[in-house]
Amino acid sequence: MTESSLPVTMPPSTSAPPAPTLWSAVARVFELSLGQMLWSRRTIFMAVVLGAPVVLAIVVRIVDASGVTPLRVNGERVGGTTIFGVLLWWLYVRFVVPVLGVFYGTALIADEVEDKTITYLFTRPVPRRAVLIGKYLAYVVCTSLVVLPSLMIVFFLVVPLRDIGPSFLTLLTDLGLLAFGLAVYGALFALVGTVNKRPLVMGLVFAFGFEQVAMLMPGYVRRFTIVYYLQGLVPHAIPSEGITSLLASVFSEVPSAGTCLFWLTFILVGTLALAARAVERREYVLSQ
Amino acid sequence: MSKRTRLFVLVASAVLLVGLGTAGVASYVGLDGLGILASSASDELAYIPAGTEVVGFADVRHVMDSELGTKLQSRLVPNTQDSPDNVFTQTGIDIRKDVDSIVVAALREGTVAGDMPLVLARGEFDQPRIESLLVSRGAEVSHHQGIRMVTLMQPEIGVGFLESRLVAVGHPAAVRLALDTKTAGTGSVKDDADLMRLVHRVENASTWTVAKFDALQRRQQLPAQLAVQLPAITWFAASGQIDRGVSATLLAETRDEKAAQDLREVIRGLLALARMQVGQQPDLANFVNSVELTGEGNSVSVAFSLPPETLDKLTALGAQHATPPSGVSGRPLAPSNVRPRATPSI
Repeated sequence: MTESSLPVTMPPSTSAPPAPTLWSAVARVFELSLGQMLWSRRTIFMAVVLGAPVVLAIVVRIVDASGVTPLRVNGERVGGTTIFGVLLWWLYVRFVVPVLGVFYGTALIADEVEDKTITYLFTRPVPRRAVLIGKYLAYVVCTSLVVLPSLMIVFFLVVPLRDIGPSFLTLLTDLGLLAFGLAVYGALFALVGTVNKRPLVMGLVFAFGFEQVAMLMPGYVRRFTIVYYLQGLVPHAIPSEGITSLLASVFSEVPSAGTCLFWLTFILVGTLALAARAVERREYVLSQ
Repeated sequence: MSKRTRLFVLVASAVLLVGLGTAGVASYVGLDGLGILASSASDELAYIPAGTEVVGFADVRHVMDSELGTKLQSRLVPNTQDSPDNVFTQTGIDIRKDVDSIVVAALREGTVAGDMPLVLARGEFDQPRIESLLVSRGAEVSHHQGIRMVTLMQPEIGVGFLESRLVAVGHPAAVRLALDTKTAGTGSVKDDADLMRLVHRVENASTWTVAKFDALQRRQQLPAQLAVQLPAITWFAASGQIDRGVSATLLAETRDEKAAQDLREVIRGLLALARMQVGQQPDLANFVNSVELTGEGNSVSVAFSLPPETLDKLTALGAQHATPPSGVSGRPLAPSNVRPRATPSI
């Protein structure tokens, strides 16, 4: 019997489904990661960090309602709008935004490596950079949805009723500033988490070591920080009177809003692109 | 996306949207437009013609019911009620019992004869009683824009019963102008963007005033020397929240940012001087320390609180100054502002 005469049973034709496009893959990773981020142990940490300003605002409101001045600087009474500006700058911009950027940004890829689950992600038929971008977008949405409502609650608790209307535009700027700050810090620390073995330590050193010191140093060093450019966008954190002297030394040189927007966008796009490139090229070796 | 994730996203988005919506509407129409404030002058402002130079509002019910108001009623109200020239005396309206709120407007100079302001009082008024009282004093009853008006000839006062709980009192021409303005639906101060911008900033208080600064100068409401020294102020507003004490805010808008900066410097200097003066008096020192000076662009704001203790102290000081002290012989002492002759240096 010749080979050709043998009956041939061919397996049924199974054409592989087409690989998803970059953005549909990003959307899928985003959807998956958003739920994971919101209901992870980090959420408890985030709730504590963001609950503190709200509790502080409630205390300020109660003290104010009882007829006692909540805050005085050099004997001068500090009003609700000014207190809100101080909370925005010192608690949100200088602490909450960097700390969330560090904890969430560095974990985008590093957590998958640590948990040895990155293999499962990278074996999917999606571009590797889609994993990073999807997780990054989930981080931005997740943190923004927690940070911005927290600021909104603080605003309504601290700012006097009569000042709510006139403060609307500054409130919009504040919300935009925080969202942008979260995005920029997140992108930077995503890069750190992608290329470094100890990203959390690096991130904390940068955010609470280098940036704090650089902002107090004269010269150009502060231009290598993110907070330097964020301060140029803060509309009202610098009170006109009273505690000016306290903050004046820190804010002695403030770049223009255009310059700040340019450099922040540059940092965001640049670091995210570098992180995506690193994820595409890097070979992750999972230790046993 | 799981159900709880979706729920979280919805709740967080709702908090953001509600907050932004509230602040946005407050920015656009003011908080009275949202009905957040118990009382407002919004309806009354529709009667006041555009170009009005001074507008003031008092939530009389709130002030009278407050602890401070109760304390001050016996001292202040009888004086105004007993004055024969007072519009309330003329019309038989008892401000303590009948009135909920008052809006006072000084119309543009030349609009009507005389300096009498237009007063819009909201409250419970016994119209037949007021009418009969006025008619017994020689007033005439007429109608304008379908609204019943009583006009007294000597002194020239018109009373218009605008709504069931709203009465206008003032020069008859001013009352008629108020009715015309309301009927036309346009041309009221609500269309005056500059004035309304300041009204929106102060309207949450129980009492407030917004004025064109040059009108205050023209009407000699400020000492001439002070008016000349002050930088170019265009608008002035004051508001006060009266409860146990008083929380007040003074706002000024200047011609430009430089003038605002100068004004801030002037106030800062005055505050420093005041601190030196009251250093030994804790109540007054607390008051001076409560002063909060802020400002942005061409606006300057000064806020301060007067707690009940400080008010008592100030009242006592006022009483001391009102009663000139006398010497042992019964002769009045030399006025305190006469400086003793300088001692020659050795």
